[in-house]
Amino acid sequence: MPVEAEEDELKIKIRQLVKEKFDGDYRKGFEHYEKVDGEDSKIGSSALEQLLADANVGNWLTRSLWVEGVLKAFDKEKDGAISWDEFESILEDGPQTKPEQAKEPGVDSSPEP
Amino acid sequence: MRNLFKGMKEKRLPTPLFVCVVWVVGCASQGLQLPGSWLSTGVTHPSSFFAETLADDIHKSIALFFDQAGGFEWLDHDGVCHLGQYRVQDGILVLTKSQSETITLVYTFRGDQLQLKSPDGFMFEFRKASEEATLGDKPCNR
Repeated sequence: MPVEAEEDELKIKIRQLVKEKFDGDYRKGFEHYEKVDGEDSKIGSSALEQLLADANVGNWLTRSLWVEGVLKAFDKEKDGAISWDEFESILEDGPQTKPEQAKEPGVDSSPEP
Repeated sequence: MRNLFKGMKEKRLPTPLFVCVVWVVGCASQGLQLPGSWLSTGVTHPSSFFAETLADDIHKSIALFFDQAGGFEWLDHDGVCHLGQYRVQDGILVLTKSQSETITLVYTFRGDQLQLKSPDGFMFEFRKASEEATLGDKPCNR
């Protein structure tokens, strides 16, 4: 089954986040977000939304839809949270970097003055 | 058009001035269509990654409100309210929340329908709220 571009984008951006913020340590990254909403050994939906925001996935209008998309694709246990095994499955395989693409009018993360 | 110039001396308007006035009115009318209340009729995305998500949410409604002073309110399908400022710039709608991201959306009008396309490919479709919904009926105040 062909992997959608969104899945590739997700993998690339989360890998980049872990590299920049957690010294490339996926376990360290997982444990950071696991603590955000107090889920036991899992990343809940609020923490997942924070993770996606930190990874620059989606925007404040669409991020909740991204969270739901990620849970539908990777939450195999269907418990509304991402376990360590499920987190690893997000990051395995897939491209390491994204080829350059022409940008549409997009998100400017810099705050307004 | 005749009444508009009633009382003026019989004189042809210089063509560039006439064209300039029409252009300004045309651009102003695009911005004037946004103010008011809008209710979503659907959210789509071309990727199958979101197919299940959007199928689940099809019954949920997003409420959007633009005021005349450049403020907006967006009440999403989870009941989360987003407030900020908007501006129209060359056919693009720019939404800004304080201390947060600025989002640039491509917008189009189709009759009484408004389509907003986000940078990550989501298409939000809205219809104008009923006449009973006044400019004071902000979604986040309900």
